Amino acid sequence: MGTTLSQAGLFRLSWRAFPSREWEKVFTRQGPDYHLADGRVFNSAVPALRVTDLVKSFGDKRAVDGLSLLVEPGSMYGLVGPNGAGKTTTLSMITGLLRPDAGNVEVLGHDVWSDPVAAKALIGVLPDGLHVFDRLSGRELIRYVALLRGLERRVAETRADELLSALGLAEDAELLVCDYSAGMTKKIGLACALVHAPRLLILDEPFEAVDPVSGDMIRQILKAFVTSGGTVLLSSHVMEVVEALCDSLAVVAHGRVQAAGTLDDVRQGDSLTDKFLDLVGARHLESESLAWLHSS
Amino acid sequence: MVALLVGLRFRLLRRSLAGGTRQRAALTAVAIISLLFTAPFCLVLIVLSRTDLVVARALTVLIGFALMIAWIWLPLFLTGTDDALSPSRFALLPVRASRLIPGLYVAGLLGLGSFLTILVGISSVIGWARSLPVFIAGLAGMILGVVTATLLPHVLTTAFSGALGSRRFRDITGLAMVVFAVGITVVLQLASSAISRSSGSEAVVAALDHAATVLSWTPFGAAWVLPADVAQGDVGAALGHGTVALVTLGALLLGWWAALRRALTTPLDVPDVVGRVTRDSLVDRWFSGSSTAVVAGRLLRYYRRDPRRLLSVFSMMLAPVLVGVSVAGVTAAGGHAGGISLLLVAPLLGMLLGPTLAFDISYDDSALWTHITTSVKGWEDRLGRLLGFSTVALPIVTLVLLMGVVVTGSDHLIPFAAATIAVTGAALGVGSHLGSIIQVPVPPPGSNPFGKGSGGGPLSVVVSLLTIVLALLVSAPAIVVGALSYSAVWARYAALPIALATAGATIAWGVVMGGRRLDRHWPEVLREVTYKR
Repeated sequence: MGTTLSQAGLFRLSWRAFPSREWEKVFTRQGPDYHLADGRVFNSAVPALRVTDLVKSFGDKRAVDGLSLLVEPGSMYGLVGPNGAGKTTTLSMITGLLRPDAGNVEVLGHDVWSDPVAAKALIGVLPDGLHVFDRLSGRELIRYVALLRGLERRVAETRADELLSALGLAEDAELLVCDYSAGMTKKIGLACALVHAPRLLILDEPFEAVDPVSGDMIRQILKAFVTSGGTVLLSSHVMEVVEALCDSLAVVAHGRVQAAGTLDDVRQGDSLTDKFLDLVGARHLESESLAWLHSS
Repeated sequence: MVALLVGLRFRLLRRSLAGGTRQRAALTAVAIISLLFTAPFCLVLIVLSRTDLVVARALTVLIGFALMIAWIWLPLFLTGTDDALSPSRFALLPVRASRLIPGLYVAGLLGLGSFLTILVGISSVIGWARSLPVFIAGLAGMILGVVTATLLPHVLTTAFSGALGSRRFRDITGLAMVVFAVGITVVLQLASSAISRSSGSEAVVAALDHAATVLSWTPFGAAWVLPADVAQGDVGAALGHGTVALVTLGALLLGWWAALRRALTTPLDVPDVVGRVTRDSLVDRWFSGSSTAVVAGRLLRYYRRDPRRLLSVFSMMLAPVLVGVSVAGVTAAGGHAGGISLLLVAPLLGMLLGPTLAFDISYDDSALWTHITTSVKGWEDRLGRLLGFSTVALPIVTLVLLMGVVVTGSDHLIPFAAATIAVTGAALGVGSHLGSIIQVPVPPPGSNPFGKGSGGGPLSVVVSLLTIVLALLVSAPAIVVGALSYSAVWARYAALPIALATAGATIAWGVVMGGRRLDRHWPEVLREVTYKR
């Protein structure tokens, strides 16, 4: 398949772009234990992402309430939770778009809030619910992000070409992004997140509004990315997506981590959906409510 | 329905008043400024009862006409984000246009503009309380006038809301704005040259009387002349003017009803498919060296493709057209073109660049996150916007300056070039800095560029005034030395260097300080520019 080839080409570039000494740091699993406020202990020298006791309030509402995460390098990590659980707020704080009230975020050893330039250079971001510069064409947008990321003009243009064809957007590359469908906009956002060959991808609802064909394409790209040593943190409220794709996950509700670990650790023999409803607290519709909705 | 919509409007007003100290301060400032601006007109109208009938008639018609024009123009410039009562919001509800109209109208009256309009109207009624019949005519005229004036923005925004954003519509509005503005400028130029040529107050009164007679037969002047007609005992004129005013009101109502009916059934904006763009344009080749250049390049593209930014380019381009046309008009009418008013256009235009640049970051809306995650430095953002904007704006300012100097005489070159350079540079610098401190709410991307409302209006007025005042303060030395250069030789040599120095220093200040402020406050700025649904 042509797309797979170009994907491989893309990620080879990333290996070369990243100094090998950094990789040793990433893959050496020694170092002190990390004690989190909720009692969990992590042992890892340089995790891909370490989030410690993150807090964010909006007025009286505590959107994120002492949330901690540890994402190992090379993992496909899912962040699941009901609407309003604080997923997007958490991801915004991880990516430097929202200032936390308290807590730390470290990306491959770089603190996002005290050493933002180094940390942000390692992350690729696909936010949910934020605009992109949509009066640019698809190609112009990728190029814009690539040049702002400090890539050479030639490299930026080659990668834009490769990403456009890998994501099936080559035909619409010269169309303005505001004329794209929701799924195409998601894909162009993913291309922008990938263009500088990041080490950590942070994706907020990457499969929302994406059709099955494109969804499969995105899955392939993410798997190739992880296989080549990259790390993915993605949020979703579709359990099936996370169950099929991720090796580890955290269940978030009320701004806190309710359960975290490998997929099997969290499921404990149940299906993820059942376990999730169990953790989050399922609500049952009482038989008498909304009786007027029943016709006849 | 009326009570429901008025209640909604009240709640929104209350919430906007409770929305933070800054918002409240801005609202208060705008209320005070506009009251101070309106009060003299009200006083003039009240005092008119003691003056000559001809003068009273002329001034009432002129003020009333200006009020109508204000209602057409101000909503275009006071863009905000309050579209809670925009017709497309009601498209999903089973309501008819005729049921919505009373509610929307009354709800729309709850605002500063309507309050001030009614104040002006009441003043004119007081001014015309000479006898009972005249008073009644004044009251009728005032009601007709105020209702017509406050209907205008409804009709315009509803008519625009369906097709807004579509390309053809933008071209047509752009053209209409040019024609309208040109018409007004030519009239003003002719009037002012007529007044300046005639000597003595009688001639001035005659000119005003003549203008009032012409304007009184236009849809926007007819209502205001009614009391004067009755006072002069001219029943025929009163009937004629009354008919014009009533027909205007009826036409507006009918127009609103038709537009609303269409807006309710075709709520969505016509997708504005620009089509494919060309690859490898000049912008790509010239603007790709650094983050600053890349940001500037995007801005250049956005001035063509973003309707909201296109509107500001359009209004900038009006300036040279206006200068050209008014010169041609005055010359054709046998007058002598030139004078200080023509020369002032360039520095005034330069001054207005400041607010536009300050607002620019808000137009990015939440897309600004791209600059944050790619670690664009604050000064790169500031300088990039400034360069992109200047590439469009500075040629226009230069053109206007040169036109003025060519028509008026080359001895004005140094003083006015100095003033233009100093003011423009200062405005751009101040705008860069202020834009990083206060982000004004603007209509979100892809929305109605004329989006009106009370949301961002007050704050944008305050930021504009602040930018202009600061820019004038900074450029004052260069302006003074420029003025001295008419008489003093040293000033002739010093004016331009001083202007360039202050301009450069202010721009450097704005870019560096604005950039530092952004570097420290990116997340907060992102929250401010994100459109609150």
